[in-house]
Order: sequence, then structure tokens, then C-alpha cells
Amino acid sequence: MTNHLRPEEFVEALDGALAPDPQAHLVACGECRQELEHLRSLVGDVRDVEAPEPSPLFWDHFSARVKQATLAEPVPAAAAWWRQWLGLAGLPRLLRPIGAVATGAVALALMFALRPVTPVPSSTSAEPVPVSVPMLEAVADDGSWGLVVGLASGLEWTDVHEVAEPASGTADAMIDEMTAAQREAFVRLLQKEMGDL
Amino acid sequence: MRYGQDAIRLAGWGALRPASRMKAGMTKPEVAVPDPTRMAVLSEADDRTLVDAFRSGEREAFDVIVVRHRRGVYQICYRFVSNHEDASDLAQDVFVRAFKGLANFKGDASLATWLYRVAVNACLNRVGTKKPRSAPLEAAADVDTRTLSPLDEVLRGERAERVRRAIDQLPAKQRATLMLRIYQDCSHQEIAAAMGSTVGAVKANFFHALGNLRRLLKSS
Repeated sequence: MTNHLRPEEFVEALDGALAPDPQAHLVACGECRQELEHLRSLVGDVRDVEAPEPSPLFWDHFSARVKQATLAEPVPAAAAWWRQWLGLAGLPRLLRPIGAVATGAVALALMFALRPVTPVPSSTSAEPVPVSVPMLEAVADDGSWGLVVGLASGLEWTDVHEVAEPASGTADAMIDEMTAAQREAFVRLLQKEMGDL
Repeated sequence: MRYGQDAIRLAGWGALRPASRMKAGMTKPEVAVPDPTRMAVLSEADDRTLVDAFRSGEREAFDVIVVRHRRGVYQICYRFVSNHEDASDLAQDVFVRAFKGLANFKGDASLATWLYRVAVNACLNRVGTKKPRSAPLEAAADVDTRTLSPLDEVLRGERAERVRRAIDQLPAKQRATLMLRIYQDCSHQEIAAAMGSTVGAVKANFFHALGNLRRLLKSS
């Protein structure tokens, strides 16, 4: 017999889960049977090494220690489905507003790009202005968007909190620059997100 | 993950105390007096329901998780560091890590397997930075030796000590595999999940752990 059991087959034999072919070999091969007995004996030796059982008092003390150690920690929440879907789940909590603003901005851009274009009645006789390149394509081609995605998916707060903390008033300035329609859509998005928190 | 949410609602858990109903991520670290009735309900809940309750802001659910899994986690830690003091520190560290990381628990494996993974990682980190202190032969203290003769008891104790020292010398991953398989009765699939490995690699690790153990015991 030259096709002795392979390591994983010995392990399966120890578990009593050997496939029929290697099992047939085992029955016929004294060498493999001897090896299996050695392994079985070793498993028994390892099993005999007992770990001490701490006293019941220790367990109460242990639970109290864990509770004390976690007391200052907020209960971490499972990421909401929309946050997971948008890739915001991995962002540190303080960076999430930035991600949310970026997501809102993209959503607005998409909204305007995909809105139905209706010709504006004109009092002049000028030719209608042809629709330019859709904004969607412009967003897709925008290299800075890739940068935003990279930032939102790979950063750890500990790495960037020194430099990435938003300056005071930045969000206000962004909102001031929005048109009325953009602002209305943005408020709806924020209300939806706040509702999930 | 939506599992368990319906169970929580059906069990009438919607009417939780205000502190427990605080929205996830907004919970303040306050010391709440556990409601005995609620704790009794949580004690009966399965692990997944506990995880959901915890992620909904119920801090008490984690207390039940600790009570349920502290022994298994401690045993893994003890097997790695071979002394009670370090094992209890390490086990506490495992549960603190689990507290912080439970939001990322996906539920693909059981909570026990996930905790064992956290424990094994913590142990591997510890073993990499600190040489384990070897404890006296206290390990065999609780073994039922009533049927053994005094000579057998001595021989058994000596043998166990030699094996324990040999296990301490195994490469860390082989040791982790051996412990999870033999002491925690984990399946190869569970070990693979706990170690971030494959079933094939786990079986190979287990086989090589036994082979190395035999070599070490022969040379000792």
C-alpha cells in the first residue's frame, strides 16, 4: 500500500467521518491504523490537560469588571440599511455628516440631470437651446468624485481627525449657495436620514 | 440584519423602559438599574435576539452575553497564557472588544464562534508580544482522580504537565486550532470561521499540531 491517508483524511478518521475509499485503505493498511492510534492517543492526552475552573465568585467579579470597562462606551449600533448601501457604515461617526452631505450633493446632481426637460416658452423668437451633455455623464467623468468615494470608503477617523474636521460654517455656506429647489430636496433627504437615526 | 426584530416586537419588547429605548448610537453611558423581569426575559433569549436587543440600545443584553460566554472565552485565554491572572485580563479585553465590535457582527457564524474569533485574535496578539508565564500544576487540581491510585495520580499529573508545556511550544495557529477543536468542541467549519481560514487549512493545522506535539513530547 503506497496511497496512505493524507493529513486531512487522518483528521477525518479521528472524527469518524472518513470517506469510503480511504476507509477501505485504513482497514487494509496497518501503518495508517497505527498512525491513527498514535493521533487518537495524543488527542486523549491533550484532552486530559484540564484548565482550572475559577470559583463562582470570580465570575461575578469578572462580569462586574467587564461592565465597568464598557460603561463609558456607547452602545454601538448596527448600521442602517441605507448607510450600508451607501457605503457610509464604515465611516467614523463624526465623518458621517460629510459623507451624508456628499451623498446628498450627488443625489441632487442626479436629480437635476435626470429631470424631464421641458422647453421653456420664450417670448423671443430665438431658437430653443439644445440640451447639453447630461450631468450624469459629467459626474461619472469627474475625477474628483472618485476622490470623494475613495475618502468615504477607506478612511479611519483616527488617521484623519486632525485634518479632516470640517471648518465651522462650511455646511452653512454650502446651503447658502443652493437654489430653492436644491434646498427643498436637501431638506427632504436630511429629514429622511434623521428619521432613521 | 432584520432577524430577531419581529421576535422582539412579538415578545412585547416594544414597551421597554425609556433608557432602553434610546436610539442606537445615541445611548448615553449611564448606570441603569437592571429590571429583573427584563433580565429574566433576556436570559431566556437566544444569542441572535440578544445581539439585536443590544444593537437596539439595550446594554443589559450584553451583560447576558457575557454571562453566557465568559467561561468559554476564559478557557481559550487560559489555554493560551497558562495562568489565571493573565487569562482573566485577556478575557475581559475580549469582551470589551466584543462590546465595541458587536455592531459589525454579521450573523454568518454563531455568536460563540465570533467571540472565539475575537478571543483567538486577542490571544495571538498577546502571545506575539508577551511570553506566557507558566503556572504550577494547578491545572489538574479539579480532575476527578477518585478512581486512580496515588501512583497513577502522580503519573497522570506529570504527563498532563508535560503535554501542557508541549502545547505551549506549538506555533500559535496550531495551538489555537488544537484548543478550539479539543477543548471547545468546535467543528472544523467553526474553527475556520473563527480563524479566518479554510476547512482544509484547519485540518492540516490540526494534523501538524498533533505531529509537532508528538515530536515535542518525545524530546522532553
